[in-house]
Amino acid sequence: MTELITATPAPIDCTLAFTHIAALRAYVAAAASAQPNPRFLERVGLPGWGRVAQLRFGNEFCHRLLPSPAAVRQGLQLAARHGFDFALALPILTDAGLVRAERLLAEMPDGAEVAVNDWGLMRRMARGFAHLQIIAGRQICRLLKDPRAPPASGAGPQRGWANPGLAALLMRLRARRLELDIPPFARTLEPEVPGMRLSAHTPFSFVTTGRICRLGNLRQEPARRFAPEHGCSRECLTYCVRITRRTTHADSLPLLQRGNTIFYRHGDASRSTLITALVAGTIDRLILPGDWHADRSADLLTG
Amino acid sequence: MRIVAPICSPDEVAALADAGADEFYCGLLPPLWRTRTDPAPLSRRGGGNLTSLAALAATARRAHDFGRTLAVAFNAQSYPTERWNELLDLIESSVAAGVDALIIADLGLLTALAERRMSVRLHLSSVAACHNRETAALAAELGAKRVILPRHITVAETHALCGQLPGIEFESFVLNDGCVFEEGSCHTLHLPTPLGGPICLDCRSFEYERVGGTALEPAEHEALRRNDAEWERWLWYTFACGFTVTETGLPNGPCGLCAIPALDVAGVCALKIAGREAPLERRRSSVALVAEVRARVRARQPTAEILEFARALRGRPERCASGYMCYYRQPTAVRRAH
Repeated sequence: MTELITATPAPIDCTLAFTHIAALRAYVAAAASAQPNPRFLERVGLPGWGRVAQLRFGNEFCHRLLPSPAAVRQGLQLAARHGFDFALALPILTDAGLVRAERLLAEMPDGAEVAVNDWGLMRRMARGFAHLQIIAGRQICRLLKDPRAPPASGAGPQRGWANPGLAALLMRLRARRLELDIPPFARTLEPEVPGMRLSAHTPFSFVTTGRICRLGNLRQEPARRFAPEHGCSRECLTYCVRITRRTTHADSLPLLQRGNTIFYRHGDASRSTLITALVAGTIDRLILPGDWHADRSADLLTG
Repeated sequence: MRIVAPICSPDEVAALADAGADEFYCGLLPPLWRTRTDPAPLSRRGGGNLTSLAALAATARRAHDFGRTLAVAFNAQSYPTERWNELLDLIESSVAAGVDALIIADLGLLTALAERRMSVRLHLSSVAACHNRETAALAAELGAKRVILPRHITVAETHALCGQLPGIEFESFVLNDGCVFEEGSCHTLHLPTPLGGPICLDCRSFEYERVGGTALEPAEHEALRRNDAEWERWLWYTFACGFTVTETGLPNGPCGLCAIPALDVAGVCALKIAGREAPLERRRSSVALVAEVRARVRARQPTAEILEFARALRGRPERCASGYMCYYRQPTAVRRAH
């Protein structure tokens, strides 16, 4: 892996993703005060590979974390002031969530990117938000990626994103970029899809997510607890969680949870697969979690 | 409202139809698709599948003999690209075998099938995670006649969907096989038990840390501990009350029986009984339970009486009262207009 890293290609555009506006603000402030170069790529095993080109705001997994229009405006201003592109990320949505999401889309300037994880929102954007660029998020890209499965499971063919039907649908809905998680034990990625550029999340891939949030029920009244419509006090912004499994094998990857979503941290196999894809140019953008990770440190990027 | 039951063999048609099933659905896993590394390459379940096109054809014929229909689930979240054409051929062969509907989760696959203009109904699987009108409308544009709603959706949301899209049929879960996460966004396998089983049961302990690293207060620890204990209690209900049945053999676990009147008012056309992998008797008694409640809805009994009847069926009202066994926590949110 060291040899590959020294064969550094042209700097790769990186997106830093933030769920909390305060974290985005803190990052921008640190960048503006010319603090030491963020070591985020070093910390994910890719030192010197890229530069932060875009700040992303919003959570991909939970509709309870939809930001307010004012927060989106604030994020836009912060990004513009410091020379970053600004993008929005949105999760799977109910009808009520779609209405709220449309208010956020209305705040976005011409040409801005939106990472979409809901087919319905993608349809809505394709029909009514022609000024925005649609990025198919990682919940659209459905891969089998169970980090608990024995490694041999990843050696074979991957289920994937390169099938003609998915590509045709994404094209029809104006998506030209697809985001993916690196499978836990895969040695290679699927072939490229004509007309579709690929981004990859690192160093965490999500495993599972859903509408019912364990942590979000911390302060819920009994009648609503663990029901789909439960509310929350955004406890996920306060706590991160490390998970211990009942069963493990030698190659098990660490499981982490933020809010309603379980992730695994990439091991050597995923890193190697990612590097191969970056060198080959199959993947031309990295997305890193600015605040949505499970490191004890508040800041994965500069800590 | 039609009752949709899982079926694993043509020999089960009579028992399930007699119990009240109007439609059947099944999985298909021929030997050529069995792989060591992927137990469920064609649908979301590795077990309870028919194993040949001949068995599929026999099941379809038997269902038709009883005036019922058969849908086959190709509802894996995605498929190996190098087997794409093979998959489409298998689906065409399934249609030729006489199935009435295909249950599809991958919208890419739905797109490909729409282009082939097959003479079969297309149903969007719950695994597609359709939570809003726009997704349902997209599925309809691609040829879907029915949307099977995901588990974690409320009656009120269902009502709104049905009202906004009158041209689409909606099917709702009503019994068995809960999921902790969104099935369409759960990218795991139900591993063999020695390897961990479902991930939601495999997570043993949760170590909480405050973002930023400062230590948790004792009161926080205690609140988190209590929440974890309550989560475990909810898990127990979600997994069929510890995978049990009642003393009379009725299935425990996720249930929407008392929501059937509200789902009827909402405009739901079909009630889904989950659990392809369950023994026949569990599936048969599930169909019978749903049929009993539906009969009262059809007879226009007062909703309060139907709720009372549904909650008394298992003889364990405290389990209903917990709310943790409910697919729909607020079934009276939607009422008849009268």
